[in-house]
Amino acid sequence: MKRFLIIALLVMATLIASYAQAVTVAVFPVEDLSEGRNGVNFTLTDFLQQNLQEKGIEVIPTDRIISFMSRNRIRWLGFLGTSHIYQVRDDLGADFILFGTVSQRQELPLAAFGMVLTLVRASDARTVWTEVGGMSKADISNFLAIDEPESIDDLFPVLAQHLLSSWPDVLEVTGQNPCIVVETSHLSSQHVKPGDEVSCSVKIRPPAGVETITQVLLKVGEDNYLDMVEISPNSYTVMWSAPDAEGFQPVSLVLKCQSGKTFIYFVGNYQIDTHSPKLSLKVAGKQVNNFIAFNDRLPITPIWQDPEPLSHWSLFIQNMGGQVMAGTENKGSLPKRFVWKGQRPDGHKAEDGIYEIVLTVWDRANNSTVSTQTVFLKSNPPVPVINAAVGNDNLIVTMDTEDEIPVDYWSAEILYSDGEVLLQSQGADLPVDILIPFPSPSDSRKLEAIVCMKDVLGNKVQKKIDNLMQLVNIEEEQPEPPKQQEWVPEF
Amino acid sequence: MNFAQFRYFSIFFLIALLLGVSSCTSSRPSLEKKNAYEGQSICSVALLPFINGSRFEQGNLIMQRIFAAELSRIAGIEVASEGDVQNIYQELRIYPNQLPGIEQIRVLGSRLDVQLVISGRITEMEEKMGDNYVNPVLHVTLQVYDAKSGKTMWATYHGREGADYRKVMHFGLVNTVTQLSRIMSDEIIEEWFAEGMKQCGK
Repeated sequence: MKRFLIIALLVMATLIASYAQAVTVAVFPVEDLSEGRNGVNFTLTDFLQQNLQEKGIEVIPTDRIISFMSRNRIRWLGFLGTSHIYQVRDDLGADFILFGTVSQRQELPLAAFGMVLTLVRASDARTVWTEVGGMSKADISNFLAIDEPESIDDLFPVLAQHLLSSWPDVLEVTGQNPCIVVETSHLSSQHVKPGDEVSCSVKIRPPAGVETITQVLLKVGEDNYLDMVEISPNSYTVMWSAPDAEGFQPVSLVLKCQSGKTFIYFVGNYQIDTHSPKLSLKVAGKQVNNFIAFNDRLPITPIWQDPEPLSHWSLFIQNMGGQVMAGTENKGSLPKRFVWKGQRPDGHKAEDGIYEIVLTVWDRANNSTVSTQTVFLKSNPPVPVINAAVGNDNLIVTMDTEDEIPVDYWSAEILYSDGEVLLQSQGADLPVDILIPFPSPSDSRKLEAIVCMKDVLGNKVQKKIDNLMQLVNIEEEQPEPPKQQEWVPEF
Repeated sequence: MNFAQFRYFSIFFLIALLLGVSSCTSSRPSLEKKNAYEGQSICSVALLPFINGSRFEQGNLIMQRIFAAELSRIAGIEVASEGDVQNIYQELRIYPNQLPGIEQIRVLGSRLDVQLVISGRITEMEEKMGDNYVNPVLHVTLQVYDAKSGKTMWATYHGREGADYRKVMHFGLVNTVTQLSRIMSDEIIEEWFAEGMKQCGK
């Protein structure tokens, strides 16, 4: 009787043990980080599979797993998303998934091997067992160096065996209730104006046979519930108009189940923006006669009154006829500074004149603001006007400029034709009269003049007059107005 | 001092030396609390992709996988699938080396049904060559966010090297980055529990 009882107990224990390990494990190809982000170690994968089979665990062949991975476009090793974990259970019939990652595998300077093993239950995507270990040649020192590892090929079986030694004796195939997986959610747009259309679409994966979803709602704001429409199996969408009130509106997905349970998932916020961006333009030119004038490069700086992110912007420079001289546009934030080199689109210098800079910005809700600034381009040098007249004892040379841009300085040098300097003069104001004493009558040398002018924008000119007296003559020998050549009817 | 006294003195001296050397290894992680911890027991977390600020290739992935494994193994915390985190990163258009904003953390937390979200940055990871041994070095910074509010709760910095764990001679030395990452992960988790984080179910 006693013997029978012992045998019965042994049989029961064996049955329980065999039942406990009667599980199917999918050993995914082991990720090998020592080979880079996409490294894979099939030797270790096979080693793990063999070890599990020796424990009496049914293992899914690698080729089926690789086929599953390619079918589902799984590009990464070492982990899976919850949806794919459920799919492994459904497609491959696995109760558990074993993920392995080789954290290090090196021969030099000392052979070292490290790995992470994670066992995930396929029914509820929960981690049920995990082990981490690292081993170096220096970690194993035996008496008289007998059986000491020489390379990583000797190390990894030791380490893998060590990690697998804590493999759970009993593996519960059925875990907690599988959760609902929100595979994707998309809220569009997240920045809108009042009245704009907002939409939200979600794709969910309800767990098989556990919870039945009866209603899919979208909670917008505090108490506004919208029914979502199923556009394809398990894909839902809804559209609505943004309210007038400015601010952020939280959006959550609400799933009501037959069991009475309600699941809420925060999808995001969307912003109702009623204000246009506030900014102005600052250009670094010279203030001349109510215009900002420049001669070469014009730095243009947008100045924010209330900075905010932008969706896109454009900047154009056009002449008074509306012809665009230069322009640029882009998405995202504004550059800190623009520079116009006073050129046309073909690269040639733009003509002197008035131009308008137009900067348009759009915020993320598509509210736009236009900032303009008128500038005056003057890249040509000043045109000196020089006249001479005979005074009592002097020759009077009058200097002026045709431009409206004031001069910064001028200089005049009166000299004889042989280079002897008679007079030098300079100043900042125009017009100006320069008195030159008459040379002695016996002096037959010509009087020359070199005149320099620079306007306030930096445009410079130098003009040489070979014979000053000629200017006097021109004044004196001014031609009379032409006589009338034809008959004009009289009234 | 006779021979017996000398022998007792020697044994006492040796024990004192061993204790002294072994006590040198106690370097706790530094923890900065930014927001009050509300005291719920933590059963589920999500790890954001760790950022590698070191020159050790894949150092971020090594630490991330090990930290996730240790959270699950020693703390019984359910760590959200890395695949789910990556999917939401793609959906929210967050680059792997970029940290999500507060709202994005809230979306992550809600979708993955976790209580905490943890980000990590490896500031240093290397294997220095010592005298006939390799001395691994690891410095890591972790940020713990409240998944509901998206706010930073704690920030933890921890830096150690394999030689810190030396007991005597070469005993106790940690020779691999993997082993050092595992030990340091355990120390960080223990520190969190010591500082008030409640273990799941307790």
